[in-house]
Amino acid sequence: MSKGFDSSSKPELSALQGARMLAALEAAKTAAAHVSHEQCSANAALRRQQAELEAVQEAGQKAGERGRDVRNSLQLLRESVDRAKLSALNAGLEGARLGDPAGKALVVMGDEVRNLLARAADALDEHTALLLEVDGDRERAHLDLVRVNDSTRLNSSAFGRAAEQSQLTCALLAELSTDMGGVFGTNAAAGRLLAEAADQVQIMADSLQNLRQRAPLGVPELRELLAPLLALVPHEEDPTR
Amino acid sequence: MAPRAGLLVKRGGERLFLAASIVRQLVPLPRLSKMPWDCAQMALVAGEIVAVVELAPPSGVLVLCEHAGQTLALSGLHAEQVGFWPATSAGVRVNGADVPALDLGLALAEFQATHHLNKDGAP
Repeated sequence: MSKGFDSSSKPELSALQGARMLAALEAAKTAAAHVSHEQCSANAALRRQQAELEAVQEAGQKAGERGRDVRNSLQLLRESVDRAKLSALNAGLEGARLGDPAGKALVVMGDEVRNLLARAADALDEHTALLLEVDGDRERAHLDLVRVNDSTRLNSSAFGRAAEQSQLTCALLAELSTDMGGVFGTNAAAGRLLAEAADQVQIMADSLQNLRQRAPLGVPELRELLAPLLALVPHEEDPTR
Repeated sequence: MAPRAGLLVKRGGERLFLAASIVRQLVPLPRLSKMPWDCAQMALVAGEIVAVVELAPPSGVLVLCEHAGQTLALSGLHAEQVGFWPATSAGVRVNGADVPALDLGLALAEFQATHHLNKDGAP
């Protein structure tokens, strides 16, 4: 009879291995819960950032509307200055019709007013040009904000999906932990304690192995070696001492 | 030389002089209407209908002048300065440069000739 692979055979796990698996599962569950919590926090922060960006966009839009109002006012001022220039020229014409001695003062005054108005018109043109530049900068900033906002929205939805996946992972790990607890007849906390105890026992076993290799040493030498450790162990009052 | 009083204007790049005796007033360019059967336009200025002669592309100002007892509005002129300048045979001398006086009769004749030619050439 040939010895084939027995499909009904199950891998045998020791209690210690089971405890370690349970402890590892518990740690993975905690880590997944932590990740999920961090993702939720990041998502909330992104949503806040998105709301703030939208507020900034709205403020920019309002600034644009005010800019249009200012431009309209400047246009009105420009028209008024142009009218005033015509009035100054008309006053000068009256003076010119009066002739040199009589109308000279009116012509000179009209010319002076016209020069002042020309300076005012130049300043108004400069203001209009500056306002256009500011409006262009505002428009560019607005477009940048729209791009940033879109990107934030995408990041936020990606974070939301990742948080959902993390929550699902947490739930699956919890289910797995419960199932394994049933299989090994213990719960996760006990498994973790058992795994820790097993680690401590392993360390002690290694220490004993080391000591065994030093067998040639006599009892007094061993006492001497262990003295610092024994001093740490609480013990009842020795009547012989 | 006796000074001449008047208005300096620009038509395109050309500087011209208009005597104060023929210029009545400068007004902002009002709405212009086509005159039927004529090349000129008309405008309502201070309750009075005046013929508008377009000497250049609109400048936003109408120069109202007296010509042959009629009020005539010139458009396309940029008013620069009013003052007294030394007279020359063709106009005035401004800062050492001769500025010719605008001959209204000639300008009107040129305008009519140009526009009638365009009108005749139209399909």
